[in-house]
Amino acid sequence: MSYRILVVDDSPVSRRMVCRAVIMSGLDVGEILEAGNGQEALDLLAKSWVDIVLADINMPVMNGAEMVKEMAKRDFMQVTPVIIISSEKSEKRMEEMLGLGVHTYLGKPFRPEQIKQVIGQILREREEASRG
Amino acid sequence: MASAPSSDALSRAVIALLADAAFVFAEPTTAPMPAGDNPLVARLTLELGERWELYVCVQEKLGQMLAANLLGTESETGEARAAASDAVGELANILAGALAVDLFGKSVVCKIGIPTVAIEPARAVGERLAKSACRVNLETEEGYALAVALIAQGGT
Repeated sequence: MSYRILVVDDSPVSRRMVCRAVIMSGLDVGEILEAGNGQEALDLLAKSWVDIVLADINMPVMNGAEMVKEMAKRDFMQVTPVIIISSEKSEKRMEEMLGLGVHTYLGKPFRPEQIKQVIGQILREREEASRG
Repeated sequence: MASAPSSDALSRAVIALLADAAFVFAEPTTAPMPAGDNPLVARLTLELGERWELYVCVQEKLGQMLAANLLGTESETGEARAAASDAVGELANILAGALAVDLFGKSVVCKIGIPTVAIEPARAVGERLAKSACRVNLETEEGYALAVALIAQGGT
């Protein structure tokens, strides 16, 4: 079974780096969608099923924290795991995002192995839940 | 008011970030940015009761090299040239995250702005950099120049 991933970042270079890390992970990723801010991500999520969202925080129009709060209001989006990848390293910000239900918080610069590890963990958790 | 990191500390942070995030190796230099070469400049603000501007200036060729390294392509490709500004902005963004912790500590949330990037006249850049007590000039092993400054802008 292949999975669909959504990468949300206002920087095309940053999106491309995350996409490369996902592709290099060797995981069975069927499609990678991209959005330039939280609102674009919500619009995409409303139209297409996505298995995992990887998102920045600091974006114009709608930031990553607002996006996560909006996802939590929608039944079909609140189950979608969100991985935050941000340059912000404040412990308070990390706690705040994890408190909003974010699965994992990664700091920039990230290593491709970190992406592989986290996505792999989420997919394993999902498979275990579906068997359980 | 939070005090700016020393220029040495800024230098260490920038050198480590360049190596870690973009595989670019640089050393401090006393040489200023080349006067005849208008650099790419990324600016962004850090705010927490007070406001700082992070100012990252790189030679255009270095911007292309940063983009190429981040994207896994060659410097001379159209893709790297097109992504140079964005790569410099992303570098400034990551650096801002590290400096925010240095300035304000890990236990508070500092508002980091969205980077803006433009080619600016070399002379104006030199004057702007000269006003900052916290600045560093670096040269990469390929001979490209970059300068980074953190400029206090008062309370908000």
